[in-house]
Amino acid sequence: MNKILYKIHAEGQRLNLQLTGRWRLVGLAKIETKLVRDVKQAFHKFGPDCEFYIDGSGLDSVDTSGVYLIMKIQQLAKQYFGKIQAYQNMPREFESLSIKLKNFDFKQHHIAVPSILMQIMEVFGNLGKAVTGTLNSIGEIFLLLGMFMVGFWDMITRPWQFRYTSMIHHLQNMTIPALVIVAAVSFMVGAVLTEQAAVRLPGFGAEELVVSFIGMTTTRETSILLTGMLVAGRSSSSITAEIGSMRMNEEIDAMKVIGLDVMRFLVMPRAMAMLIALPILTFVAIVAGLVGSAVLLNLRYGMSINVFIERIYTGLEISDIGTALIKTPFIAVALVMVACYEGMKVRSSASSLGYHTTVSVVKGLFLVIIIDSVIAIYFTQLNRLG
Amino acid sequence: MMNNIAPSKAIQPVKIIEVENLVSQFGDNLVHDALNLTILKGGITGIVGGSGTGKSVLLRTMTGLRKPDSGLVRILGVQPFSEHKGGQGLARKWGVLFQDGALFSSLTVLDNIMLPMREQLNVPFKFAQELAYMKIFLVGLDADVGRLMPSELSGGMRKRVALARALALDPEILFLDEPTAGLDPIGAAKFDDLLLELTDALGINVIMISHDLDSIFKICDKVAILAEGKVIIHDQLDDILAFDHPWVQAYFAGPRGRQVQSQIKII
Repeated sequence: MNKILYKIHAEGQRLNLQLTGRWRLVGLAKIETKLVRDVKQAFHKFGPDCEFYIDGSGLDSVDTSGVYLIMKIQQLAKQYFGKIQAYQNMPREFESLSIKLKNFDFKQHHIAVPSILMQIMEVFGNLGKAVTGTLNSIGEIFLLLGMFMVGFWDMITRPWQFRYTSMIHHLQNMTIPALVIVAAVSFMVGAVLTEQAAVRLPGFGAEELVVSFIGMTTTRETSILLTGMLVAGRSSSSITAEIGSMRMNEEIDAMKVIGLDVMRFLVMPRAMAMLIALPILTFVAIVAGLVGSAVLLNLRYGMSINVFIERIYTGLEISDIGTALIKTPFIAVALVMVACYEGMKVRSSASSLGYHTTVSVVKGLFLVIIIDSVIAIYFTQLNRLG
Repeated sequence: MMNNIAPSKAIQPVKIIEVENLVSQFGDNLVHDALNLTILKGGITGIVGGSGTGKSVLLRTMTGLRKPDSGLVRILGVQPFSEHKGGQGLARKWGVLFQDGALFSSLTVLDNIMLPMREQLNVPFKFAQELAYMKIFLVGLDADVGRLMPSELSGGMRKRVALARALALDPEILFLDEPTAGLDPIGAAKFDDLLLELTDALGINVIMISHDLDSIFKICDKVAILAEGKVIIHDQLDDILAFDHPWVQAYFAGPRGRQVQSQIKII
């Protein structure tokens, strides 16, 4: 339903732009381009000698966009004829609004689009920023380790000031809802790995070794890796989001002003909770993984549970579980410190909260794998030497 | 001033907002108890009341963000709250200025102002950009502000940008939630002047929640006072000052109210 909002007609040397109907944004949005084009064409057709009039007698109503458009046409006419043209019969709203827009500069309204060269340069700039950003975050790890040590020292020298209630609260949030998912994932992976080994190892005549091989992999590697990754996804993100939104809400500033130590109040309870939670979850993952492979061997290959347990006893040593559990404090501290630090970097916008939460999880996952590998290699080498 | 604002064809007063027997309840807490309020076309209406009298709840109900527990709300003859897009049509006819601006933090100032035009009315990009610059000019900011992100703005600028966004579609009704809260007295006075000029020039109906006695005296044509879950009086300021109710007297005739009144008289 496009109503006619303007008519251009000429009487001798007189060029009339007759405005009609409701000049409001709804209608103008559709005709703006055409109107400007029509007016320019008319100017060229009638030449610079004609008189140009804008007649508003047919206007029902006009809003700011209408006024803007009329004044824009007037500016066009001014460029073309070299003098300001008169309006006729404009409604009262137009008068009051056009006075407001009298000093508006009609030419300034375009954001300069950067040239292609600049855009290409910007790509290199961003690459450079990414590189320095990565280097910085490697440096950050040592900073965070130092911060943790200071906080830890503070905690053991003044244990009565430690926030035990807060720690218990976080411990509960980190363990109980995570138990099921950790156990389920570990059970599945244990079963799948067993299936793979059970199909392939007999080819090398190593049927006997299936259980001890799987027991070793599950205990030493998959359990801690899976737990670390799940915790990085669950707890790191929630810690970053919590601290980040506290920061956006200026709660962190309020704590500092009241004289509360952010390290003691926010970071250490979470770090200690994670130090307790991660070994528990890892142990659950080990048990669930072994149960997974026992169930699979029992159902698919008819190995009785007793035989499985016996082989686990002969194939595994207590130090294998120890190797897994010794990794947990390192991973726990890394995850909590990175999550808290990213949370503290959040600035006052919703997108920065999202960005830092993502970064926290990505860094967390990366650190889980790095720490796991370094410690695993260290212990393997020790075993060979011993 | 009423004459200037009244549009060309209005002969009979048009009801732009009708609230009938509105009940709002949070658990056992009865905020509005059969509240009635009718606002006619033209001018600036202030809604005043003590803390907890449900000013913000009323505003949220009027803008369709909250469902009335009972009773009827009509804005321009349409019920704003509806599960099925009933309020959609109103989005083009009203503008809302939230207390902290509620600018979209991931968009530049210019994009914030262009968003309603682009999404609601499909205004072509270039025209929308031009109009957005015009709105920035109208609320008294530099064109350079258009490039900034909302987090880079000061409190006063943020309110002005939010006002520009609220005015993006040239609404018939403008809802303001404490427009001068958080501004310094000079900034608040300038913002009041701006509101007066714009409502005068654009012919918008303004519904304003405020605690700021200065701006109530300066810009409101009529004031509705909320107390005891009802609108106890809705009238022009002179009549309200004469109204015999303990809260009204304490509010307007208290030390701060008297101070403002005497200043207004001097001017």
